[in-house]
Amino acid sequence: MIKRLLGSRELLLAAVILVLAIVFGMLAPQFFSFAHMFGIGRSAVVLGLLSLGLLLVMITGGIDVSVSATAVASMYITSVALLELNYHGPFLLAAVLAVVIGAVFGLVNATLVTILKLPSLIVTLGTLTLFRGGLLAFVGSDRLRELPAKMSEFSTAQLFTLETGGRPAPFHVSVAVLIVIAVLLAWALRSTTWGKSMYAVGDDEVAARRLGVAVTPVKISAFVLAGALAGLAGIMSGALNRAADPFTIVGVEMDALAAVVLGGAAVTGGRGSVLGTMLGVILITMVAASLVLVGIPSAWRHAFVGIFLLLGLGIPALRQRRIEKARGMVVSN
Amino acid sequence: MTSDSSANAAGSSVLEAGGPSAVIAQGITKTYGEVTALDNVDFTVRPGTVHCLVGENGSGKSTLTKIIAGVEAQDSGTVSVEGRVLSSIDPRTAIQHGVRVIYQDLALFPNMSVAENVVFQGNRSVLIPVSNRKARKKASEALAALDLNIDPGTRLGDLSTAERQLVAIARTVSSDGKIILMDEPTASLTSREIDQLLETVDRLRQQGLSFVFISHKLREVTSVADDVTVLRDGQLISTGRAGEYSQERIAELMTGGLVENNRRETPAQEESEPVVEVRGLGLASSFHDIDFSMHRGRVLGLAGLVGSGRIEIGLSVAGLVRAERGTVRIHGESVENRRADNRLQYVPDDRLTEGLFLDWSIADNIVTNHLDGVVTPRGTVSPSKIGELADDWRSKLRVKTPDVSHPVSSLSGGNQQRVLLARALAPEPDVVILNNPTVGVDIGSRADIHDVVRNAADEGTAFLVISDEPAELLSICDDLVFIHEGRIIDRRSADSLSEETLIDIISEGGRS
Amino acid sequence: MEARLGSRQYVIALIALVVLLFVILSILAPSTYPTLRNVLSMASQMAPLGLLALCVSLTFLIGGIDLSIVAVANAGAIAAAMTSTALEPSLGAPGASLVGVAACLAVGVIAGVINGTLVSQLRVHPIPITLGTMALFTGIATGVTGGATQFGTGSLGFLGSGTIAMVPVSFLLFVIVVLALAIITTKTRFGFKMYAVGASDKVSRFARLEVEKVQVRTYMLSGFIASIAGLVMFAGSNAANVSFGSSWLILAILIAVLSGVDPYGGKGRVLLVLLAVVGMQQVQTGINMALGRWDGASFAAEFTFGVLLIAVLGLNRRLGKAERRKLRKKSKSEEIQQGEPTLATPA
Repeated sequence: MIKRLLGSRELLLAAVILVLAIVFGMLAPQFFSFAHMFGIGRSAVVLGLLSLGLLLVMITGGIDVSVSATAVASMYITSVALLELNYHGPFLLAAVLAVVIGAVFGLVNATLVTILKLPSLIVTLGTLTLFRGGLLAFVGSDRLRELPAKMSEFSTAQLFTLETGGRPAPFHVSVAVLIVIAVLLAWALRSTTWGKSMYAVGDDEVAARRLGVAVTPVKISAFVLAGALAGLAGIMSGALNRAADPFTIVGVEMDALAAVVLGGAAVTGGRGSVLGTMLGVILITMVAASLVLVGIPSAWRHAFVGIFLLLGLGIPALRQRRIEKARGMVVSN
Repeated sequence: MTSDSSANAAGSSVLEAGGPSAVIAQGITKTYGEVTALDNVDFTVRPGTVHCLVGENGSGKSTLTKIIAGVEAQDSGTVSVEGRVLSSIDPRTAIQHGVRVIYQDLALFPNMSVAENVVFQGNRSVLIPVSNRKARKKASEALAALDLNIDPGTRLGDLSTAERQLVAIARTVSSDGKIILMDEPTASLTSREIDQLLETVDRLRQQGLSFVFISHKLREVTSVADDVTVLRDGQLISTGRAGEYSQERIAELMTGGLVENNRRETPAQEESEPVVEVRGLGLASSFHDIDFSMHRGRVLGLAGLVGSGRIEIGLSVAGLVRAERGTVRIHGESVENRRADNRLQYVPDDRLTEGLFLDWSIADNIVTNHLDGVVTPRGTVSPSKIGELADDWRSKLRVKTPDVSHPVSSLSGGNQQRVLLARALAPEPDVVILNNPTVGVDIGSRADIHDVVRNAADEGTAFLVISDEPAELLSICDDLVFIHEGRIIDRRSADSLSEETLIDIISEGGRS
Repeated sequence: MEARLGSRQYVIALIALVVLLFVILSILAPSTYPTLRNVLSMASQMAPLGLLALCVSLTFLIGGIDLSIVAVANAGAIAAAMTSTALEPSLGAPGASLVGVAACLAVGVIAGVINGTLVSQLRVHPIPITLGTMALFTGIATGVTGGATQFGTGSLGFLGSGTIAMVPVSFLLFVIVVLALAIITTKTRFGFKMYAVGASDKVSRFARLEVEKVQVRTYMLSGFIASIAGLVMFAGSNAANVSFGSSWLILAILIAVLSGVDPYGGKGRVLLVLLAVVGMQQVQTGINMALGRWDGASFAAEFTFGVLLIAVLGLNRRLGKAERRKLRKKSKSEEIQQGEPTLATPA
């Protein structure tokens, strides 16, 4: 049991995060302030929600690179609609609207992948451009600075604020939202038939079908939830930035993929955990937020994400292959 | 045809009287393309009994189980379970009616733990919480009931083939089913494990469960069956009480009397210089200290259980699995990169996923390993040369097709296997390694394929044959090496062996 | 052979599509579209995208995908710009440019070998691998340049805008590369093995083909061709930046899918990329003609490409299924398929 825990991806990731944090902390003392920590939390919200959605799709053996476009489209459409309606109600309703729009986008992906049986990467690459292009062409390409009041107010909705050494360290509500959703998803994946079926479908679709899993609905649920989470990520991003910018959240799908893969998920399905994914998100956000702090130009950010992704793929793959080789399971050298 | 249902056979269960039959399959016909896999087959399982379904590979047994399980859709006919006709063809429906299956390929989830695999049920309502602790407990109990010592927390993918088979059994017998279909559940088990399984089956039968039991091993069939049904080429040949069937009779019904009993005659003399010399070959947890020699014109068989390491040894000699220790010499010289050595050829056993490029033409498949033979002097691949070479081999091995440009998927199993053999023989190799060369091949083709092997051996090719079929090993091999848990436990000359002895050595693991 | 190349009907359909597009657009704009000027202008724009589409087709053919191509093209162009600018004082513009060209192509080959090695050794799906190398190559290029545009010596202009007998040099280069790849894939032993690996890497492994070698070489070719695309892009504008061609990946995939190469591998003709590029260029020109004055034109184009990608892919799958059914029927006459499919024995 202990051996298994030691060999687990989550522990390894946590160790890497800890070591990096110590390094950053030694290079830049302000790293260990609550303000910086909570700041990392706040900037992890959008990536975290997108990554959780992608995780669900990857567990079932698919991939969804359209989550960033879904996020920005849901956010922008919601904002435009609410401004159009002169909406002054609570933020919650705006969030629900964005989630529903996101879920609809997810359903589009789900339909194309499950009903037409097209490869999910190419489909979602297609919908990535389609959603974004459609948004910019037919809904609008202007940055909206004047959001409904309650939406803008959300950007300063702190759950609590710590006062340490005279500097306030605010803990934003959105971080709590992310944590609650992560815990819920972790529970659902670990402890419901739906969760087990998600892993089963990704692990061996034929076997899952034979054991009575309704494979298509399970896959659809993954894409729809990914869309819904992306919608939430979008509206959070808009609210946190106090503006609806149709050109934001570009390329975040790469970071999300890196986070999910780092967290132990495989494109071939059947693997991955919420904890691992969240640790991946923390690692990537922490590095992105702290590079400048330690004097590395932020231009190198992509290179780090790429290296993380490749290491996250490579190390477990090599370990797995060593085991398989020893059992004579690897055909050809 | 023996199907008098009134006869009361020995060994039938206490629950026999009253209640509808556990399974009634009526007039089941199933075709793939224009092939009839099952032709108007009737099949009934009495409640609380074990019904053995026997037949050669490709006779339709697995198809029939899959139809009862709702995995495959029949073209016509109905399946009813405990008196109710299954309304839709869907595994979920069958599961709701209490049907549980051990599939030939096990249908387990490699990335899940053993416990998760044992308790997994996909047809539950989705939001029902699953307690992982309870799951572990239930899994431990299920494993203990089978007298198994496997940690329920282990990742399934890390288990051996035999252990996986046992997990599949544990899952199926612990899942509150009423009717359990077992498709070759003992393929990789030792005789001790088989006894354990048969005891469990017997106990559950006493509790009123019904079984459909598919096995090659006729001893198991006669020891556990209440009823027997024999299929051949998709036809129902015979069905009745087990008491009416001896092993000999079943064998005769399965093959239609076409039992191929001729052993290889006049094997070539062993020459002093071996073609292949394997010394001390070993690979971590797969096989150890493997020594054997192969000689020109001789056929060497590797016998053992599924998962015993036979296949890995064959793969290793072929250069497809890298051994950690030991050497393989070809004509006296040690060859490290054997994969690139065309003097060796390998024929895998699963022609549909490992053997053939199914969408490709027959010709392209045949030349795959002999591209050097179909290039023009300028070095470009010539379609006309491909055609010539393929035509040549079509006539040599009598592949039944009007045109080698047709897709290989249009051929029957026997002819597909001939294409694979042609592919291996085209480069004129010194050594050919065959892994189950006649899986899923009709009886006539099997004899033909055995002839091809014998003839090629007579012309000087050395063969290494791995086979699950004792009869096949005895029919084409000159010498046999027995593998158990990755080690050589015995060597025999095929002449001196009876089929019974051979099976005994395989399943006793050398402890007899 | 035919099974590997795909159906003849598809070739005819593709030719018909190209002709049809030409006719329709000519009718819509009779004075500007069917002119030599316009045709040559379109030809001059095809090369970079066409070359990138070739990379996708090649990797599709072996059942893989290379998502790093645009990153490689940009990295190559940046390498060319930086080396040639740095060496200009000592070697003079032509000499420095030559070294720049070599640097660009070297970047492509190295990147390709990295992709191929990772794919073949890790045996992880090429999607996350090439996404990872895409981020890595982009990141390195961004880090090195700080995101700034790099300019060259301007002596590669002929490659970008030169003509031979009125035909754009870049277009000729593209055609040469297409023809070379068509020969490699359909006439050589290596090409045969590429189709084999694409049809099934498992079957290829059991047939003892050197799958890893085929993978490394194919990704190397892909990287090499991507760097040629980068060179053409660079030569055209004398400038290189990591953010150039950001929407080209999807276009390259679209063209590859349109060319009929099966994304699951093992089927199709690289030669048809030529037709697919011509078709796509016309679609692009058509969109520009129709929407040119509208602000959202480029966005609408992106939207259209996304729709087209999915539509073409869906259509191809349908056609492929029908085709397979027909092939099976064709030779049903004598022998019939074995009833019971053999199941894989667990290793």
